[in-house]
Amino acid sequence: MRYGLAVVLAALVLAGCATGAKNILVSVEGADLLGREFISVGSSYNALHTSKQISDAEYKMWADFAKVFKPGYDEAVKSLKAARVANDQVQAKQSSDAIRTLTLRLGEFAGAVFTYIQRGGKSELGIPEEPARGLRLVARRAA
Amino acid sequence: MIPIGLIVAALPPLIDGITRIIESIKQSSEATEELKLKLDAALERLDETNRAVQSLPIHDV
Repeated sequence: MRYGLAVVLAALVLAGCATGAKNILVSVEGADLLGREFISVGSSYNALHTSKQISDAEYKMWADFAKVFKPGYDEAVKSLKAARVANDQVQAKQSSDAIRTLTLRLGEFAGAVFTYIQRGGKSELGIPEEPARGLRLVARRAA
Repeated sequence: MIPIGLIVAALPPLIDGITRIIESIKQSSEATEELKLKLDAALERLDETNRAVQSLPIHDV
């Protein structure tokens, strides 16, 4: 889970070094991996909440983040597709930046749930404060 | 006037150079085409992933 997000970040760094279509390809692969990580982390939160292993308040932190993540991710995907059609490197870089922001925030939730599961649910979930920080810009772009 | 012998002597390396340039352009074109195919396939996968992301349930709390 955490390894996957590290790969996304590495891919985005590589995208900065690559040129043209290669740059867009690396960003697309990174975005794809990020989406799959979101599903994996989200499924874990859903399962923990369904089995009442985490409280409504703890789950709400995830739910609030997920509600911002989804439109932000959708917008990043649309932007990458548009960048592919126009071969627009500036737009590709903006999408890449949005994906990087989403990856970092998702990493905080992934880290929290990973630690929680590793400790057998014998600790607090430990979601960092303000998990949705930095996402306002992404959400605004999506609006 | 350039001696004919000099022209004849210069022809093989010239032809060799042109052949290499053509080969290089051909390889570059093939690589670009391969990259485009990879990109299209990756975008299709991304579309599927995006659909799955958008349909991930969020519980009402």
